[in-house]
Amino acid sequence: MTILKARSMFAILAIVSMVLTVNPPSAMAHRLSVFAILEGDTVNGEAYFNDGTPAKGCPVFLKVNKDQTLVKGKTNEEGLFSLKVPSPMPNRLEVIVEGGAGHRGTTTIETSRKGNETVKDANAKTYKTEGISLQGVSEEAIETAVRKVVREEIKPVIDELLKLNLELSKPGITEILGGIGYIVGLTGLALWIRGKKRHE
Amino acid sequence: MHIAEGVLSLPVLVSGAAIATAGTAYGIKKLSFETIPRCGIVSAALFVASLIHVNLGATSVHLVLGGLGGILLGWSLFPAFLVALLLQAVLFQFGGLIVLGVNVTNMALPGILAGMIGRAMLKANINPFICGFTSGLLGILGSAACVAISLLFRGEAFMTSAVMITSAHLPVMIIEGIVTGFIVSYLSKTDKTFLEGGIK
Repeated sequence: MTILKARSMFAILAIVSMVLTVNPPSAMAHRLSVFAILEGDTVNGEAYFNDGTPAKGCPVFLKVNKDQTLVKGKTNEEGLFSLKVPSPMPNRLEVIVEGGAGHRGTTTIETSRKGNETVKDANAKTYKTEGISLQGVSEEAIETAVRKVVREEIKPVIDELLKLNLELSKPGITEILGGIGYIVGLTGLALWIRGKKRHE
Repeated sequence: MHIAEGVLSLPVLVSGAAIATAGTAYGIKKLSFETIPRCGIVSAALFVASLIHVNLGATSVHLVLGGLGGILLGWSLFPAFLVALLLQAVLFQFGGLIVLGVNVTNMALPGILAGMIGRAMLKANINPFICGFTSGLLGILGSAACVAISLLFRGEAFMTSAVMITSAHLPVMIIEGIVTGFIVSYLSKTDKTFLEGGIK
């Protein structure tokens, strides 16, 4: 009878793992991932469940600390959001996406890094770049132009980063098998302890 | 079904953890030498069940198998869920360690009740598929209600979120009902003792 019992238990596991193979681990959910970067004074980002489904129409909050919400917004149909940060720019921004029904994803942006600082020099009028002199061009104009070019240039990198982030947020076969291994071990441990008690 | 970290208030977290601790202690006490392997197998099934995911518009839902666990384990479903959800939190970042107690309670308690109903129906010689179907469906329905209750203290109006969560889980209720129905009817054909096995 015990063998039969073990056999039917095994059948359950077999059915579950069969369903698992039919629906490979690429289709999963229940974690909300948020990816956000600061571009100028705008926070651009993306929110998705860890099966890759975008979190559509979810409220997005930019917070300085736990109680102080700076900006509120919503994700669009593709799970993308873009929020303008009012000045002065805080050193650290927390991006929170509420997926409803207990889903929530957060990420933080350090804004104090170099590159976001704008050093104003009103007297600077002449710039020399390898023999080309730029006269009468304001620093701001150059900065805006450079920012625009850099943004376009690094767009593929950012897209790749987003894809990588999405890939990383899915549980892999290592985690799945590792977890099952833990359960097998725990079961064995429990049997060992109970078995010892039964002998005594 | 997993509630994310940082969503719930302290009283909800504490009461969830208290119920989960008491349930786990009682469940472990109820475990016999014969039912430990069964508990391990069910725990492994619960652990992978959350990877079987049904894609539904903005939300994502997955199998829970609480009703099936309730039929097979009774109160010992608590330790099975504790291990499965702990590993999911650590390895998949589903839910989290602080909300572990609430998540365990939300899934185990309705599963146990649904299992009791299923077992009573089986003893009354009702078609095993219908018994399994009822347990599977009620397990998810109960868990959805528990999630709505947990979110109640957060300002999300109970009826709105209950209706939202329940309707989002409607397809999973039916799928889980069918899966549980098949497993229970298979078990009742191959192993008549699975209802006994020291679980009262």
